[in-house]
Amino acid sequence: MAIRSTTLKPQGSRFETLAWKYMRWSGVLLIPLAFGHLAIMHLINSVYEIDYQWVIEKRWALLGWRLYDAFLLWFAGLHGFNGLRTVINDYAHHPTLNRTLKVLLIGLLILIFALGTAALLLAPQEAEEGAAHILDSLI
Amino acid sequence: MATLVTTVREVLRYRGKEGQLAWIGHRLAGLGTLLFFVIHVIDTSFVTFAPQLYEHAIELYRALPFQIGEMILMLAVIYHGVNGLRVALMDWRPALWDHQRALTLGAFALTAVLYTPVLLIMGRHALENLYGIHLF
Repeated sequence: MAIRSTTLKPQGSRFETLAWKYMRWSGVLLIPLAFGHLAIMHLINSVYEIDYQWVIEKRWALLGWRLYDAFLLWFAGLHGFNGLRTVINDYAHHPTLNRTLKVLLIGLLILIFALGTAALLLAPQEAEEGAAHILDSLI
Repeated sequence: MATLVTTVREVLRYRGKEGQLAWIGHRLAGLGTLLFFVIHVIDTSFVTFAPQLYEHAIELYRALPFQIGEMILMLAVIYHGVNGLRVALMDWRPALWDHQRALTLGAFALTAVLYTPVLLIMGRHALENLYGIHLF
């Protein structure tokens, strides 16, 4: 069975088309971002090395890592919450329930984005001695 | 909610083979990762707003049950990424639909290949730090 000329994108709604495209593009971007994050945190380092001091002095002392974490927060957050929106639409058909769940979803998304972004912006700036280059902060 | 019950029941009953397995796995892995993501943003914000609470959270993550949870999380993220890439590629190039089954099985295989060293390295970290056991 050959399917070569079918249009796979959702038809009709501009927003749904945009959301559909966002899931694919952000998904591709999240592969290096999320896989990189997991590799640095759990393979190169581990939860036994990570503590308050480590985060402040090795990670957030460098603007580059704060930006990395910010991109991960926003792209993964929007990707995940849009995924949950799809799941809500799949299972919650009753209009009131559907609407209530989506209001809660948007509320939680705003809360998480605000909390995460504020944490990255307001964290104290204390560089470890000698950690002047982004590569120094890897290990 | 009836549709949710239907989905759970039919996933167990309907024999949709690898395609359906890939779909339900993708959905569960995505939802599980989102749940952890929300918790993780909150605990990481403690670094800035409540350093003592952050140390407490890290202590919890170091315990065995949470380490097992993190190993499951790694599998969820790897599978969701690999399988999601397959979906994006197939949407981009519909000609690939001819090879749907091979690509799905390939995504399972690639997940296993990527996950094996991850599991070994995380297992080593946990065994060393929790029990002082050096396996390799």
